[in-house]
Amino acid sequence: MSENRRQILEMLSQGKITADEAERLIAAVEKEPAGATGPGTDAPRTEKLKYFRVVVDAIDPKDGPTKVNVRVPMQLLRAGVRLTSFIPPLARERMNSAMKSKGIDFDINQLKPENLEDLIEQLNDFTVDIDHEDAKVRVFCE
Amino acid sequence: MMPPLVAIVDIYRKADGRTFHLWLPIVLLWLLFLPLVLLLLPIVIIVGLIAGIQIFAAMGAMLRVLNGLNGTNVEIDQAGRHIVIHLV
Repeated sequence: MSENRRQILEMLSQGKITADEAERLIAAVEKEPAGATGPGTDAPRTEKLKYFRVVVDAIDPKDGPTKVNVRVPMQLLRAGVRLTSFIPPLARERMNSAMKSKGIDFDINQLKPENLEDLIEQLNDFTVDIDHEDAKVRVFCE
Repeated sequence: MMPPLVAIVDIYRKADGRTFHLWLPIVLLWLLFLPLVLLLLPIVIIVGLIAGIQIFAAMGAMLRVLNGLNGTNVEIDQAGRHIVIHLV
């Protein structure tokens, strides 16, 4: 059994993920080409991310069960990052200090078009799962 | 790549099984904006020169943002209604 598969099954047994999520993760692991995650492999992933997805499954007190599914093309994210290079330096400093005051240690100056593909590549493994009693939110890329 | 030309809106009402299928031509919106952009261009160029912003590069980046909207899909399922908005 591969390490990834074992970790997924452990998470399932600990109740951290649902059976559906485990199935999806295992399918994703199986789909991954052998050796792609191994050390020293710098080969780019053949599968290119196309969409940024936000899925919300909530229970609205007024309207009952609500499902929202948003799919934004990754092209928009790329264009948005390129647009940040036109933000004046003063505005950048203000943004950085505003984020720092909220406890987010992020430097907008690091967001450069030349780093864009690296950033998007990292989104391959990016998933946000919020499981609240009234709502489930999932943010991921595909 | 082009900015989205049409917004397809589908509204499905589960109660009576009716479906509304709308094609909204966003291209008309761009055509309306075009003269406005041309009118404002000299002012924008002057402001850009003062502020030290490369206006044409910025405009190109903004155009790319508009182009990036192409393919956006929003689905909402609530209170017996299913709404799909798709930009193409």
